[in-house]
Amino acid sequence: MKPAAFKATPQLSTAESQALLKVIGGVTLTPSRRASLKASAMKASVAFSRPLKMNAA
Amino acid sequence: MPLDVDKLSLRFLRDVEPTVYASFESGRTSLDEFLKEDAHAYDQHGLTTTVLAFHDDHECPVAYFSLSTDSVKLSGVELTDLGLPFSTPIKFFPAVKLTKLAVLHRLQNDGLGSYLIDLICGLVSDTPFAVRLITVDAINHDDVIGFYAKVGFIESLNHSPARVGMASRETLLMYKDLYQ
Repeated sequence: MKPAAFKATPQLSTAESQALLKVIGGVTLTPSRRASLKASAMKASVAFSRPLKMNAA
Repeated sequence: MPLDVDKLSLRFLRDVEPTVYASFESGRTSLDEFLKEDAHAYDQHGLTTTVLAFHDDHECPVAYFSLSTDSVKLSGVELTDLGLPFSTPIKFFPAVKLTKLAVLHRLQNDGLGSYLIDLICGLVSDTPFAVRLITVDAINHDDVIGFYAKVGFIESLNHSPARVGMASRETLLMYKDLYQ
């Protein structure tokens, strides 16, 4: 039997949890980051709607 | 010369004939085999969704990535440690796992992987459900860890003494905060 291609993330250890919270604890989504994510989403949407040059579909 | 990203198209693997990606080679056997042998079944059964990236100047896909929902569960921390401005017993962050990311071998180190990470951040943030983190079990090679660090991923134990001894691990958990 093949091994699983990926695993869900297991519960973090205390050290890992503390390290994570040191980085993201208290951080909120700023308007500029929100705009940046929106722009990236738009680029992805455009890429999904572009016709393929080759006969892939 | 960097790839012209304006010529990139994305398609779900389920909408593409297998013959189209049969010649894809990233140079990493596990990634190539997953795409050709397992990705379709994983997609069909709701385990991970795979997206192919095409470029106008290339016949076969230039890259692919796979995503699944995930969650980052904390332990050993106080409830208030999440840094939220309200009191709540939540001890996890909703996440999406980047289960696979591969770029065509001859196009590696040219910025395509970074560009795709940017698109993935946009995709997972533009959903009707909350996602705070992107997680990845990065292959424990310097070039792979270096790539993810360059695009904003942090090793889960980067600054911890527990990091010592991780060199023997096959993969390292890394995460990227979508809010930063």
